[in-house]
Amino acid sequence: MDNYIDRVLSAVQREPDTAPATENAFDNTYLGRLPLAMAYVPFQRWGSIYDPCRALQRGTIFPDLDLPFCGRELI
Amino acid sequence: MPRTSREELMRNLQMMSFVLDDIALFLQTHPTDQAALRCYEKYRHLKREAEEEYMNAYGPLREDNVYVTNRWTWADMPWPWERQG
Amino acid sequence: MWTYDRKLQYPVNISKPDANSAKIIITQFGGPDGELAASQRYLSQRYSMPFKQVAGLLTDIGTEEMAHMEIVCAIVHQLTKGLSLEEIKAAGFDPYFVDHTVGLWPQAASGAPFTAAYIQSKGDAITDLVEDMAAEQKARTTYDNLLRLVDNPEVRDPLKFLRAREVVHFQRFGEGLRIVQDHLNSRNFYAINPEFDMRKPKSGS
Repeated sequence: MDNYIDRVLSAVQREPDTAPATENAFDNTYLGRLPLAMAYVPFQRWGSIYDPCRALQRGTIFPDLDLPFCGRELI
Repeated sequence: MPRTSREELMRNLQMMSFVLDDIALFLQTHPTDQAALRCYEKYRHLKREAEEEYMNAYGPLREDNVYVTNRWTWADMPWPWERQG
Repeated sequence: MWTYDRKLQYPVNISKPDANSAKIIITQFGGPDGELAASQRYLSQRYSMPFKQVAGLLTDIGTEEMAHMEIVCAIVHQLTKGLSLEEIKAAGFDPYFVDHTVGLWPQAASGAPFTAAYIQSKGDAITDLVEDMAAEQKARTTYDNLLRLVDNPEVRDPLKFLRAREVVHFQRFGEGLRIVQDHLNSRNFYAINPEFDMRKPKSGS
């Protein structure tokens, strides 16, 4: 999907990494290039998926989106 | 307690159907992803087979596909919200 | 339109009734961040959504939420079927029982009835998608809280499945928002509302 946000991020990824590591490094290299006052979720990329049994059990076919609640786990 | 055959066929159908659901949702926002499209095709067939297997043994899954004999069988099996088996 | 599939998206088989769990899990049926609210929110928003892909997303997820509502109701039904009067009174389930017996009625755990006030359909593409992302997080937190309170693995199982779906839906709505952004002017995303200000000119003008 070649939209504006993806072009901005691709351009950033091609630049050499000369910025010193600071607590704002992430914003400076990626998010900081994006327009303010807006929310951005990265597009997921297709990868390997769970087998059907595991997929149903985990609630998704995508290992990348398998983010369980660990606050309390009896079983 | 050993699993009943109906539970096994339903479980298999739920697995194939769910995988197809999650692929289809991905395709909604990634409509040209070729790998996802191939995967969708694969699971479309697997789900169809799982449905046929279940329906041949245990009755209709949708009201537009009720096998007609001499009575209406749509309401015969336990409804999905009941404890099965 | 809708077709009914004679199956649950995820199996529910609970062997022992438990009114205490039923009292709190019902919140994901008729509560502010429950599945009924989610389905009505997304299905309502889709009509004025001008971007076909996003309207499709709202339709698909709205439909899936109805299937989730069915799972929640199956859980509550199986937790209340066969309860004795002693169990009903001991669990403090009697106020609900008086008005609904063991029927399913859309309410929050607090007893507050379901209301459209739980949802918004603002008719603005950005606003609606951000609302939807928030809704998925609220639902996820509600399932987290239910998982803190419920011990029975037969009940935890479908709750964990439903919680996992919220995370996936959040990702999809986030992508939907990206698709909307792509149709707008990135120098000012808020210059117009694409649902209202991008009307086609009348023919003949």
